[in-house]
Amino acid sequence: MKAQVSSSRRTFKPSDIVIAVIAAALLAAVLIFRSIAEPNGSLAAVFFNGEQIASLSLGTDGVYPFDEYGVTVEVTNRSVRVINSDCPDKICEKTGFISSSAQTIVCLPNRISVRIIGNTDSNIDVVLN
Amino acid sequence: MKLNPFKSAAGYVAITGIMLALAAALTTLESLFSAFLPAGVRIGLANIVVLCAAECINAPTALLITLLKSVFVLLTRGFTAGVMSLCGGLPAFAVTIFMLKKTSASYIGISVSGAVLHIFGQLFAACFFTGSIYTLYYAPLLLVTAVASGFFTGAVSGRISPLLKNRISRL
Repeated sequence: MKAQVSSSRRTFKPSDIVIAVIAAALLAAVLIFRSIAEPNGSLAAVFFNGEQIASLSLGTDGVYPFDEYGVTVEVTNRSVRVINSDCPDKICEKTGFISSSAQTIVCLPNRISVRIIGNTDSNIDVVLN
Repeated sequence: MKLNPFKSAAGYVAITGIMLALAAALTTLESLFSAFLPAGVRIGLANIVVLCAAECINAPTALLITLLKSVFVLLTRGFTAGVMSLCGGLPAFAVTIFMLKKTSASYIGISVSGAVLHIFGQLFAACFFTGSIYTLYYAPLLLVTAVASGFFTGAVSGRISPLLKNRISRL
């Protein structure tokens, strides 16, 4: 047993600084990744297993139940959110509204994700594939 | 890969069983908290058990607890949750063992690294499931909370580990 090593792990070491620097660099990287995403789009696309199943115009408010996928999506004021899901974690509901293409709503148990796509306005309200 | 470092097989089975039960119980307890936390944020209390097992018993036993904990999640919360548990647990286990063996990092440092690897393992798995790299939208919040929860679980592990080691060294 290497008991003598364990007590020294109670205090910070130089290698802890390396960890802090790596964590800070990762945070910077993911923030930069988020900020360089495309500008706002005009459509909210709903994906199942990575396949697009619907696109909803952000210009038209409405509530869209996807009963067979277990989620209900709401478009309000050019943003979109999941208002109801039958999953246990409710991560999708808690994500709240998204309005930029850098954002995503994910519901892993239902394999559903919602993203903002498209840069041009259209007169179509809903396209169900 | 020798699992039991002790003289007593019964002692090993008992202590490992208790630790696995503790990991499963903490995971369940945490699911109750997560309703009050932002999207996807978890404290990672089971990390305490894995770190203590790695430090006080040995690496193969910590891996065993990680794997069986994922099986528990698979049975109780479904396939996706089970796969996500594994995708977080295995990278976290790997970095925990690496840092225990190769560095002199503190428990808090090790725990923070484990938490960060845990969320990135899960985020990349989520990217795979959703087919979109933009799932990394969740990364900044999760990264900040992983560091915070890593501090907490690391501090707790630092308290528990010497006591546990002292107890089980007689097995």
